[in-house]
Amino acid sequence: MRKVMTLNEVAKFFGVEQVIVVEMIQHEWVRPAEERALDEEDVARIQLILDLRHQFGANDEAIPVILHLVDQLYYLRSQLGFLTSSNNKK
Amino acid sequence: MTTNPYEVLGVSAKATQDEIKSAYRNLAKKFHPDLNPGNKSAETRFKEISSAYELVESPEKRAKFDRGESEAAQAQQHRSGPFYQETQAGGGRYSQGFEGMDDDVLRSIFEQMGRQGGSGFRGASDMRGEDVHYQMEVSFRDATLGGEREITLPDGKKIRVKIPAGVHSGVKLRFGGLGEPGVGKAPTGDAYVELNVLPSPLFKREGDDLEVEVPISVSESILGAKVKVPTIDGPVFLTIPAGASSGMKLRLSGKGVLNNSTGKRGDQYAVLKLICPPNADPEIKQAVQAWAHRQTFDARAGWIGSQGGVL
Repeated sequence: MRKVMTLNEVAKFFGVEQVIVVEMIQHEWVRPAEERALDEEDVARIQLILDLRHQFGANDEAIPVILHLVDQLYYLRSQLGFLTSSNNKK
Repeated sequence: MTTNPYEVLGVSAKATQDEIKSAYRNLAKKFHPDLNPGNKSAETRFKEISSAYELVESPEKRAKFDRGESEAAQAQQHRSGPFYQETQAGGGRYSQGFEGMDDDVLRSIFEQMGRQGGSGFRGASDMRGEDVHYQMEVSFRDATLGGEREITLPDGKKIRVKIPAGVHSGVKLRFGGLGEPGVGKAPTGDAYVELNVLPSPLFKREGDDLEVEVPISVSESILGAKVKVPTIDGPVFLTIPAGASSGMKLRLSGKGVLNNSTGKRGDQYAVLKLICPPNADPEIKQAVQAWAHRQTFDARAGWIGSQGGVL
């Protein structure tokens, strides 16, 4: 079962205004699989964006760049992980 | 776990709010789990740092902590959810097939690694298994009429190879799914068997027809004869008409190569080769001499070379 949260629930969870979450979706930094139903991945991604903004001092122009690079990194990591695990089995 | 947030953040208890904030930011940048994917100790450290910071992030909270009214354990609740990197570790929605990452580029990198690493890397996630190539020698007869052979692949699997009639060397037969296994959800590769048709010392192939050279003697040439001639179906008797010459082609209908598309067989041609005895006995020499005086037959009549011809 996929655990989903509404926009309102997510905003409450992080203690931010709902509009902040809506903006993230409008910017397509967060792309929920279903409209207005955010799953664990989306929530974790919002946390990352909040961290980038508040802890790392990243501004709205840097955030999509960072997200894109992070996505590429995880993509490569998953590919490599696949390789190493299939390699270890041999 | 250290409960003193100042210690965790590495600042003095008298540090200014800005000092605390910048110490926190520096540590957070260093230990953020998304910058240290898979590093558990960084994650633990990051959680410590964030809970420590929550206790002293504002002058009010700090005053509360300094009075001993708040505890670290309370604040920790906030970071209970999975970190982003954890949701992507097994390949999340955001980190697969997004724009800008070319699958083919990756694939070719991994394929190259595979070639260089020998038995090491075999491919990227969801990569189709490699095709394997085999070579098989096929007898001339099987290549002409078709046949069936069983071969054992290196992995012990046995496959029946149907050799189509009329194949040539270099023809590749495909066996779907008998190659290397695919990685992930990708399909297995194919096996290809390349046929190498062994030449026959006897038969020469011209399209669907076969040619066999048949030596005949002078007497057979003059008088005619029945000669046993090999075909791919076994020997048959071929009638040589009286007065046959070297180079004459006699047709054996339907003894050629089976054409898979028409279902019909080509013909076999027997090409006569007159063999003169190297040391004919005097009796024959005399007889031929006497005959040569009387005969009017010109073997070179109609030969372009005897017309003083220039090419």
